[in-house]
Amino acid sequence: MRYRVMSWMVQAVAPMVAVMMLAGGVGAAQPLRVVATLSVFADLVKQVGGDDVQVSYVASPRFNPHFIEPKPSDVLKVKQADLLVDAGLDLEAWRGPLLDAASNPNLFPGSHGELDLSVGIPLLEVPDRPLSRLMGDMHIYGNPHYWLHPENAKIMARAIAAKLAEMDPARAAAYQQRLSDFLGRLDQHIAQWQQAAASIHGKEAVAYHNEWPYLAEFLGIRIDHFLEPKPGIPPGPQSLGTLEAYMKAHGIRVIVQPTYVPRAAAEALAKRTGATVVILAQNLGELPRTKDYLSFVDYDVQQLVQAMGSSS
Amino acid sequence: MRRLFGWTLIVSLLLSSQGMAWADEVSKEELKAMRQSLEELKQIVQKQQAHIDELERKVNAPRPVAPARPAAPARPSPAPGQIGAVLPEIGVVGDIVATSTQKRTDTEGNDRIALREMELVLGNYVDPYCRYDATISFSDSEAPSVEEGYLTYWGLPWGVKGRFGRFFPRIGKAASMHRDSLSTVDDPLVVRRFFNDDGFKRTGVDFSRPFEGPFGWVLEPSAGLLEGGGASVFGSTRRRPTLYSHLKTFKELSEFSNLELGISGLLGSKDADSGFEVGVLGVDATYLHHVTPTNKLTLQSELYVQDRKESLPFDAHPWGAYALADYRFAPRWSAGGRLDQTRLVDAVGSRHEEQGLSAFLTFYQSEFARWRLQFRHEIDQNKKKDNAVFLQGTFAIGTHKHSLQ
Repeated sequence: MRYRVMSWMVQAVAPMVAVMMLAGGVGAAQPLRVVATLSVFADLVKQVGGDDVQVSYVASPRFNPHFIEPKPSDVLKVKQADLLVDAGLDLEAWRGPLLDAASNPNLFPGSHGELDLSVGIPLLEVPDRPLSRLMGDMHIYGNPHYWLHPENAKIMARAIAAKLAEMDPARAAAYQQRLSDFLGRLDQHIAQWQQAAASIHGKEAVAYHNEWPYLAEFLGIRIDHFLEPKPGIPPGPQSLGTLEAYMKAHGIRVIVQPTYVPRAAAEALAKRTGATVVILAQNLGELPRTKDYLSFVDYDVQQLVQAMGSSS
Repeated sequence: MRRLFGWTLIVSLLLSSQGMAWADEVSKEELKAMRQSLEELKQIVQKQQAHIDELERKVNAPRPVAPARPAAPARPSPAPGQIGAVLPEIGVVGDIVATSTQKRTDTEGNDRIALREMELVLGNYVDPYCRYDATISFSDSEAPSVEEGYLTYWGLPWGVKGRFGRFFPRIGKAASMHRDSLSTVDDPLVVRRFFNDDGFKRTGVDFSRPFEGPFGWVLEPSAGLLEGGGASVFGSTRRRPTLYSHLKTFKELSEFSNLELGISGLLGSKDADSGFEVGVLGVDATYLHHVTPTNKLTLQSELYVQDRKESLPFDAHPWGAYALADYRFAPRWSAGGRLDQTRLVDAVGSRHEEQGLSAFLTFYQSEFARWRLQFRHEIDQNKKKDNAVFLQGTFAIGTHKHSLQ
């Protein structure tokens, strides 16, 4: 049997090796295969690339993008991709191991097939002092949730169009046209969002985790206090008590959080302070009405305007 | 002389009277200019005051929607850690275990608190073609050892990835994992009996490549050649190599659940003089289901069967298996249990077996610190029972490599 064990394994593996070899060659006429780390980046690629690109993403929008465990299917996607679009910085701590596992040298950081969307983004909360894990799960390059500012979406879309045109010059004009269309639609929405948000200027909300500074900047609101006592550390009775006192002292009536963190702490705090828990989408597809970038931001703006407007 | 003095006096007087008149005119001009300057300065001050008032109003007013962002190209993002380009990524994982057991033997960790393992984890890219990773293990009961130290090459034909050095071969699930990555404090009984207390790691070379299979399955075959020994099932000699192969198959059942099935084969020697007298066939299955984004159920099982060239009365087909369930019922808590069963290399007539039952509770203090309490009940081959309680603390500092599923 012991030789049968190995011969069986050889018989099982040999056809696969043949398939591997055959799978090595890829036709030149195929659309660019793009893998984005997040669903929101995948949508921006789709907006610009249209049917000329084949897009997928790694992190399910139902899960916290900080703590994704990439699956073997994700490894395969990255291995087969022509372009990886990622957040750069230190949002996706799982990106390095994923790239190592996929072993696609074209996508390693700084390679031709990698697009770091953080380049050119005016980052918020860039540390101005030495960091330590005493401060919790800190972001050493600045807050990485920058896609929630619609002005940043313009920078990202332009970067995507430039990269697609660089990798696929034959379709550069189509990419440029789709980019212009998208930016036009985005500008219209930005004007509408600004108008809608006028009623909540200067107001304050609290959040579970510090992942909304870009949206807050865009809307002219403040979200500076959090249920987590330190980033990545779940809230406890003491931190909730401190936040409760702050909310009561400042008349704060809105608690913001995404879908993927437990609601119990926010709901308990809401009960004690009379506040409303508002569930926002951090990623595209996280909630039913967030099917593309515009509807995604639209949903968050509407929820906030409704909750913060009525809380006054 | 007097005349000259007189004329000089007259001219002087005349000149001085004219000078006084001119000086008077100049003073008036200056005064006028100064008044004008003063008026201008007053206007400037008024303008500046108005500007300050305006600025103060802006500061005190609610922030405008979408404040004007710089039209010029924004500041580029900070270059991520350039020093990391030349220094290795460094991490330290500490694994401290307190054990209380009924066993009388004074072996590693019995009735004591032990630094079971402190791993120094190093790694970085060597050049555009490969990466080097090393794990050096220190313990308060064993000599320091190199757990892993291998090169990973990705520039091989057909996208094949190769490893060269000392590593955990891709055998099953538990045997190929570091102890601090397990769901339990200890390895399953079958891994401890067939391989080692801390899994199976050897020096050698192996190759793997994932590809798309039928019906949405992902297939990843691996094959390798390892130095001999290093596992209880084989002899202690390193001279006769061990061959291994593994086929990992994976299917996403939904956004929240997936299934992984694997099959492993090993062929090795039990001594230096003969051929490959030991074959091992292993199968593994792991089902993972996210009940919520933070609550996760893991079901895992492995079975290993040996095929040994043994003469009677020894059993040629020892086997072992385990089944494990682990449920993360809250973001910081998980609980589970494990059942173990092994039949050892023994006389056929005696049918010596071992069984185990474990229950464990894990508290995730943070992403980098974890506590685990485990109770284990085992019945050994002599039917002697042993109850053991473990308290494990696992901590990581430095570069922390996220695990893949």
